[in-house]
Amino acid sequence: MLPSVEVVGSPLRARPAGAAFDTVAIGPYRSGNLADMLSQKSGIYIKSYGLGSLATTAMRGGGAAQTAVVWNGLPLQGPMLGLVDLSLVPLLFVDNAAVQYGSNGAAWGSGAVGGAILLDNASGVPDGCSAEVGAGVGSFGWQQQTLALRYGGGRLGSTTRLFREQADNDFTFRARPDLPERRQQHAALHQQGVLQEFFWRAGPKQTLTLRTWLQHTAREIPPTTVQNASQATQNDGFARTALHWKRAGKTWIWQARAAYFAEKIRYSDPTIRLMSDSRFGIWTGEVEADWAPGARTRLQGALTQTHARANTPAYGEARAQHRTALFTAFSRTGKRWRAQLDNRLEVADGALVPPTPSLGGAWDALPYLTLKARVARSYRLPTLNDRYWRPGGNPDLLPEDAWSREAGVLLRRQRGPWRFAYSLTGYDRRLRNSILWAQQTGQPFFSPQNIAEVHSRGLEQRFDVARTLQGGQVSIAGGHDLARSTNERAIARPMIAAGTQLFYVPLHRAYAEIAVRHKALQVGAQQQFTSGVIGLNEPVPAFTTGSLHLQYTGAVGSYSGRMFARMENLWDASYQVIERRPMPGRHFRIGISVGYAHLKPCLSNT
Amino acid sequence: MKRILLFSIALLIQLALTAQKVVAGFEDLGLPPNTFSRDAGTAGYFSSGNVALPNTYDPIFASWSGWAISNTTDATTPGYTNESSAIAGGGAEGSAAYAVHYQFGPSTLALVQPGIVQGMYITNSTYAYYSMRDGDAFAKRFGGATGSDPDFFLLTIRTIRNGQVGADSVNFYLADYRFANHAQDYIVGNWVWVDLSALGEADQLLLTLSSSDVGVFGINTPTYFCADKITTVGPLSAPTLPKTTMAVEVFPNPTTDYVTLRLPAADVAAAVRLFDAQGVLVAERTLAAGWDRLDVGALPAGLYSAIVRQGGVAYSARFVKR
Repeated sequence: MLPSVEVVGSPLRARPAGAAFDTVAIGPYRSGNLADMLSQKSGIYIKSYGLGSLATTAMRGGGAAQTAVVWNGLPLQGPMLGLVDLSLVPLLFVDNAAVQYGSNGAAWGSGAVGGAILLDNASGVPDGCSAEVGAGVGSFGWQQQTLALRYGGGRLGSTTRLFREQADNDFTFRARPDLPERRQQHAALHQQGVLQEFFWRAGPKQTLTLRTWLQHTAREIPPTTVQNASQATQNDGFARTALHWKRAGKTWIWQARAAYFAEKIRYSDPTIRLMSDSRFGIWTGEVEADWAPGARTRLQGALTQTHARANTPAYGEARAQHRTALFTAFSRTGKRWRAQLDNRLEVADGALVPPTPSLGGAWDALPYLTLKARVARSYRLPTLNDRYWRPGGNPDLLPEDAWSREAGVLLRRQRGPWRFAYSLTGYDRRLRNSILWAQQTGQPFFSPQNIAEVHSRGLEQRFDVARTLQGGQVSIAGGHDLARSTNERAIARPMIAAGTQLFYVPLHRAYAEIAVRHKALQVGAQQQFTSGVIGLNEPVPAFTTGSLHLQYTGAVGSYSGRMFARMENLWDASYQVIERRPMPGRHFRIGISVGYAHLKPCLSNT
Repeated sequence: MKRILLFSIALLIQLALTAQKVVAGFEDLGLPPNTFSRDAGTAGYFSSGNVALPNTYDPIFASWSGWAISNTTDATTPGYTNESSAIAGGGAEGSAAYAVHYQFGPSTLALVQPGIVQGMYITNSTYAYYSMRDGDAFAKRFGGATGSDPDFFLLTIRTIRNGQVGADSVNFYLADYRFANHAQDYIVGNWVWVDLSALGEADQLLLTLSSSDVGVFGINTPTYFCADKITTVGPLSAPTLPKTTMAVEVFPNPTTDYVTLRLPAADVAAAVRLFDAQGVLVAERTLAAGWDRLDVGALPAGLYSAIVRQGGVAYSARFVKR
């Protein structure tokens, strides 16, 4: 039912030579959100505040604002906090998800320090018409309804995806294993969204795509385990519109993007008589040229202009940020090797950001063995909150500045029905001018300062073994991430001793999945382990969770159907990811969707 | 000898009884009804009775610390949006005005004339009271998830006399959940008289809040409390009392750029430590014997205490930076 994926971003930006990647199959997680999936099926540590609550990342020992989230080539991080709430990314609206580990500041600009999560939608005019309607129910009052429409043919096409979701999230939990069960209060979620895409094939080489993603989420903020009650709520609303033009010739590919992202967050807590609105808008314009003068050489350049404007009562007045960036890349491919040199020059609010180059390469030393290495500089601009929040905002902050290096080995064998892959990547990153909200002598408030220095290093392993069967496949895949990320300077308040692991960065994370696909049936089981982390008040213990999924798809003539069932936290573990924020025990979701497809062109405009 | 000693003690008691008793009730500041005054202006302190309460106000961030004066009465609204109110719903003994204290670290309360602080009424702020009773997004409910965590919120008061911090202290628990029988656990919800007379003569009080709920950012419990009817007796000037005959002179006072410190001894090297109104060390250096100049141009406006050590003796002086 879903269209095939053509990655609309630029390969040199999305797949730099020498970098490590995970492509995450969405499959049965389509009814969930990005945070749910990545927590089970990737090496990324997801900092979840609870079911349906805020979820951010920590990649390669970085912070939440040190991961870029890129939607069809456009970074989604807001200018106020510099991060994306991954629980607000419904996978129904994503056709392809990939994780790029490591710094890629040259390609994605500010924030791509620990890595990037790349979300893409299929591009190109669809053929035929189809409609799919789905519904799901689950534990804790979860309900979801979805509708997907696709029609087109010839030069014009359109897809429409809608969803509506609600949940009470009133799960039971134990604040500590020896304490009695309690029921989560005030944690309901109501969410709805639409993704509308229009495609126009303007000529044999040109396409124009217009996407609009509208979404509203109303969430109750539950109390902590040491709080009697909460009446706080948060409403997140956004409208993201992006226009993408692409002209692909024999040796030249021209692309242009224009986008406007507007977001509004209303936090309200009647208990303390507080209502606070934050809103921002980002205009982005980008022109990109890709030139391949020969089969082995490729050059790319992109000029990006960004203007962001934000306001919240704590700023006192609207604040703006202007950025102009030039990305350049040069790639050379040999018979058994590929090398790439990137750079980014950026001017932010009139100040030149230090250039962020990267150099990477991969060499097929043996038919089944690839060696790769990469060195990259990356940066993170101070957010508008860092600069203008009252009290504390510091307009004189410098960008965070990181140099990272990584090297790895990739083994791939295929023999008969067997496929085997294993990769090992080691990395080392030094982050200077790290921004930390700290208390200065004599100041009654915390203020962001460029005082921290962070040293992150680690090892990442991935494996994938699969055997093709008659009518299907069985596979085992997984990985282990070792991330040692330490503060190199002692700081008085917050109280940080030199050499200690960063807060909320697990030393170990491991995951594995067994999947069986036979004809229309897919069955899978996942298991993940996250080691304990240092919280702001107390240590958070390690936890292990498992999940099961089952999906059946079938078609009769023009009609198709899909059924899915998922069981999360299979072992009913009592755990927290963020201290004082309980996670649910064993719970399930089931759903069904039916569709109709008419594969001949539906539009007669061709 | 015994007779002389008895006579001296009797003289001291007589002096103490006849010394002027002054109550700082803050009514004399003339606050309009339902007002929270958190900016003491260039003076850097609120003065009532015989006490001066240091205050720091940042007009850029509209942020304050130290002491503020209030007569708001909201004893029901939790959260930082109600940082101005006492949980008792007004001042002590039915009065309207009272002082609100908010400080991350140790802070001070200065006596205009040195003397003995007999005591003061103390209660919780509404913000801290409900935060401890119910928990909030940052701080824990006292008792914790189990209900039996031995939590506390403690105010420790010491004297400062001639720059020397007194050895004795008075501990006042604004909340105490450490009882074996948790039915006895309490959070102070009324004005409670705290007797400080045992601490003796002072020219400042040093106030320190501590809590069992501490994270990497320091105390999670809102570091607020309220005080009223700060009662002092003094000055005491009986000849038998130890007194500092030599002191550090500071001029000009107030100042804008520098102060000159004239030291008691002209031929002994000295060192000075400069504290702001919250008791935070802001400068430290050695001084030339006799007199020396201290550049204070870069310091924020406010009340400062200079503690000078010379020949094993500590001397204190205060000045106002404009």
